[in-house]
Amino acid sequence: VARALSRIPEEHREVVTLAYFEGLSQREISRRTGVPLGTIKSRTTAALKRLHRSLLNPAAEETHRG
Amino acid sequence: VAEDRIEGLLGAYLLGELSVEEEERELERHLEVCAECRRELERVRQTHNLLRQLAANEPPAELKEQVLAQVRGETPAHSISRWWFWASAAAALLLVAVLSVGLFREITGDPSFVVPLAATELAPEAGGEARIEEVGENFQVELEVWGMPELKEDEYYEMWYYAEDGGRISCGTFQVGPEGRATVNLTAPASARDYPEIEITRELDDGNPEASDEGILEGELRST
Repeated sequence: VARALSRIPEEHREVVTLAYFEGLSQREISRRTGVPLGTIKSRTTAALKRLHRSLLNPAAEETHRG
Repeated sequence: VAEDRIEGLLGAYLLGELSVEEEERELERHLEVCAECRRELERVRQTHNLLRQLAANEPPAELKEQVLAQVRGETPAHSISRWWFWASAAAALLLVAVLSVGLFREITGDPSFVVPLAATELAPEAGGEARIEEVGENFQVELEVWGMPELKEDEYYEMWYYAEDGGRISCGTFQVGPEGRATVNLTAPASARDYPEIEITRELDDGNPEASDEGILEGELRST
């Protein structure tokens, strides 16, 4: 997960960290970063999607046995 | 464009943060008619659950500090290496936690079960096993496969919960390594319990979210 997080864009990592590790609401994130609330919401979704992709592909690469 | 906007609400929806009631209703109405967004929701939910687990185990203080500093416009020295250190530590803690839970369940005899996966005529030498465990509301699936046909660049494998009437839920997608082997961890929602079969299909990355008819492995879930 950490490695996947490090591979996604900075702005995505920021919303994920603030929402999940800092426990901020979307509105608080918007206020803290000065980015509009609607953008924060769509960015959260985009970040989760990026993370999912990032988790899946290397997972298969790293866990194959040969 | 309207669909993009609605789809963009999925993350906030999972966080329980669609403050405007209308937004939530609009999204739920859309989910009823849009299969692709339902699948996207399941994918996003897997990541959401994983992050929740990770955050619940040990919020890495330095990682938070790091990000907060960046938000304030500062760039502390050694940012990358410090971030890596704490991120690795968090990952290690999560691994220990996951292993401990597994061990605990083994000792206490918590039900997890193994579903053997049989090859179809498309790849008679393929085989696999799905180890399924109920974790909270969801099912954790450890999928191991071997002898899978080599994929082309724009192809992937997908695991489904499947019912005879054609209904299915995607559990996630994966690639395979040498000898067609892979071991991947996937998550299925609670609603998967209504589906009696598992299927692994070969999919072309063409934007079509429906399952292809190239079933490579099949398995039957025994009702418990």
